[in-house]
Amino acid sequence: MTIESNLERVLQAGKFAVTGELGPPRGADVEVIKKKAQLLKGHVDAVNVTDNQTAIVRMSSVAACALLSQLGLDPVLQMVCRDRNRIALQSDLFGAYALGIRNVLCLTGDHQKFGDHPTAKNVFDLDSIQLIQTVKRLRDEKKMLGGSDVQGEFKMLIGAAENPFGDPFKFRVTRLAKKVAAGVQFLQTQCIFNLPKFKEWMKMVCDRGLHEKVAIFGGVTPIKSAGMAKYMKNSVAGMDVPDEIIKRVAGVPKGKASEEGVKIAVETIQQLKETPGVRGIHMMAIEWEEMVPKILQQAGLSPRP
Amino acid sequence: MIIAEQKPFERIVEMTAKARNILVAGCGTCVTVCLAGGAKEVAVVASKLRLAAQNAGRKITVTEATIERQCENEFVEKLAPALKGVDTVVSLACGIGVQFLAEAFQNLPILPGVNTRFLGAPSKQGTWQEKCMACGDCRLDKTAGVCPMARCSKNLLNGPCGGSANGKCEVNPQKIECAWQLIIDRMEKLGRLDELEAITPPNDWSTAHDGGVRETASEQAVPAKTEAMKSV
Amino acid sequence: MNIEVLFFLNSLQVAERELEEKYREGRKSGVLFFPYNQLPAVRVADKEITVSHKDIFTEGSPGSWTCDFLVVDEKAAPGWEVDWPTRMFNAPSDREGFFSSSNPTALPAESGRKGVFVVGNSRANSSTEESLAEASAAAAGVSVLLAKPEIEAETHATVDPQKCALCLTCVRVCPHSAIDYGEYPEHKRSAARIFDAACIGCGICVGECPARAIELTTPAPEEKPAKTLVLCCKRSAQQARETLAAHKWTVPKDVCFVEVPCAGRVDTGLILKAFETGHERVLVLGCHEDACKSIYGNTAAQRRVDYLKKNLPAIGIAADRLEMRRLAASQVERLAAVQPA
Repeated sequence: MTIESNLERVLQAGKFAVTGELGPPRGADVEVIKKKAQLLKGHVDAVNVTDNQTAIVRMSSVAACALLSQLGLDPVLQMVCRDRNRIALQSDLFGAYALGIRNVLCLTGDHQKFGDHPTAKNVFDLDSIQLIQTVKRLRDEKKMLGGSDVQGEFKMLIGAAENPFGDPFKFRVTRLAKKVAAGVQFLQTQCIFNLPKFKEWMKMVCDRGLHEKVAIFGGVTPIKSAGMAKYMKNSVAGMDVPDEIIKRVAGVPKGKASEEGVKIAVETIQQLKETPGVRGIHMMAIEWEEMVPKILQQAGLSPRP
Repeated sequence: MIIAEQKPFERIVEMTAKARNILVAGCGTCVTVCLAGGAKEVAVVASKLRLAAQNAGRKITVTEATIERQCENEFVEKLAPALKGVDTVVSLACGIGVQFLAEAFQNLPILPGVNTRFLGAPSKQGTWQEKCMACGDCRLDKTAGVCPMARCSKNLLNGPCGGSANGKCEVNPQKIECAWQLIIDRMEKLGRLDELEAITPPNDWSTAHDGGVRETASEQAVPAKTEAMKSV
Repeated sequence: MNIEVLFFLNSLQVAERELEEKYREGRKSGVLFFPYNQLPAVRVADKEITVSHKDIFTEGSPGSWTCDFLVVDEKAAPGWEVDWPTRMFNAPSDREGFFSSSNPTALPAESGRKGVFVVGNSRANSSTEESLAEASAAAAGVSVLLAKPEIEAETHATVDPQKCALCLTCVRVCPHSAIDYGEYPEHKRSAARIFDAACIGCGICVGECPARAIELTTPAPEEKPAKTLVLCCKRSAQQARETLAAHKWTVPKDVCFVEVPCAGRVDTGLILKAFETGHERVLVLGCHEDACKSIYGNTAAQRRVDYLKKNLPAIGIAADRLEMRRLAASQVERLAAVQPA
């Protein structure tokens, strides 16, 4: 099979992968995408484009991915099951391929309650695992979910996400195993602040040999301020921010908090590089993309090969 | 059981603004049991309507009647005598009862006095929780008697999303339990946890409302005599 | 040595002998007493103890003190003794987890259920002497019951099995464990059943029944047209009224007093009916908290009154036209204070 995705090329070469993330604008402003793309270009192997993340309406992920592709970046199309049924999901997957998109990240999606349209109807026709299965079937069997043949070429590197800090903790590995069985090839985790817990999860992953079947990228988010850390701890479900991290950021002199946040991120990356089974990192610099090159340079991961 | 709750009284006043002679009709089954539309609530709503009209300087008549079930024509017919002179009916039955009355009494406006919420049961006296969404293909055998369709906010079939924390659902951690936490706990107790490793394929929604408005028939049911006579 | 002593406490009730004296002594020598509604917050950091307290009188932002020593009162927790009554009554009856410890209306060993006596450590954290005294009281109670060859049970309330929806509301809410459900052979159907021997006729179930299937046997007293209707619990307000009447009390004009078996009988329908029949104001007079013969009849009434007060404006009735007040049978002045609207 020909390799069309840069991310796939990096993984095949056995290199430590770096992916970034880009939130499309809350409107049709292409300049926002161009600006963020410039910040990330050359520093990451591929860029996730969020799909109406936290159920806040933004420019379509497919469209933003296509723009990134034109700008010479390798986009990872995030696809959530919240807003589209199997008909729309498959249709959008074909559209994405036609526009040059070669990576997809299959997600269940945040509940609309948290977004700017809490009165919306949700879909959840499929879940993330079933979406992984669907993409694999389209690609490998050239069959749609309903049984019809897929016309012409279709190829995608299949990704998914997992939250090692969600409950029930033990079942998190089972869920990953299900994603692997469904056909996932790379997996990005929720932001890691609690490294001991992540390592415990990773050990369970390795014990089941799952790390050999899927490339796991540890999620890294630089903390801008103690306020942000507290917010993530208290208000974002499934986020595990230990008090020591908050104390560290809160403990530095005024104006130095973000510097400390960057330091923590760099340290986290160093630790992840040494954690058995981890094959890359996923940088989620939430509206702080300008800091990504600096962090990656300090962590010895930039520029990219 | 069908769980309903009374509409805000302001809405009932708004709906009945033009009415002069109102019948408040209760239902003796589900909505009585869930304290929303039985004889007691009928009296309360009727009293409120009378007082509201009186205080607004309007002259209206409000009468009360509660029947066994508003979702059976034989019971519904019993309301006919109570409808003499009535120009508006406020039904405190679920949406099914309201529609049965509307069908039976074509020339009368039949207004809903309650909001039909869900299929559920009391979690404690005075509080009810959703337990079933009538998907039409019960799989409780596979999920240890806990329904992921009705009780997972995203109706996930392959395990919990990342928003499950301390056994609670992120959509409302104070009130909603994570159905998958419950399923996993119970499967573990039953020694069947390994069964959850299997992937549940995409769901067939055609048995649910997505397949269109549903009807179901019992093949062995003997037709009522009105129907049976025709076929003899 | 100059020692400052601060005393935080829930309520200053000095029930035992000599305590009142001790309290006065303490105040004289400079001890500060702070009553609270909310438990003060205690923080211990680096050997420094800080107590933050929100004053119930000023209701302002909490004051805080650092101290060298913090003495915390011991807490008596119920043991295995409460298991049996808890199972039997389906719930412990007081906040401490004990079975009926502080209700002054109950005789020393009485429980919510007639004929069932609870003594010793299941009832409260009791000394041996107290337990023995309660046991004798229970024995006395039993001998009264057994004095007659047959126990005559009076019927206070009846269920119409045709109306009962078997919602089990009454079974769940009856504080006297006097209701279950079962077959009515003559009607060939199941419905709620009341044990006459256990029922005291408080009427909480009547107020709560969504099908209006339960009725009290005592006919509702007649209401006279008056601006103000006062619904009096027969165990407090009604007794106060009788005391006042015996002292040639002039009943205020335009006020109609009506006896109810318990404030818990008063439901939303009854209050709305009162407004409908032309009363301008409705006053519900119930017993003090923790002093209801039916344990939570007074709080049930309060719940309904609070609910209605929120809903009355939508009907065009000002919320202050409905009110609930608490009093004891001895607090005649509270009854005398009732004036027409």
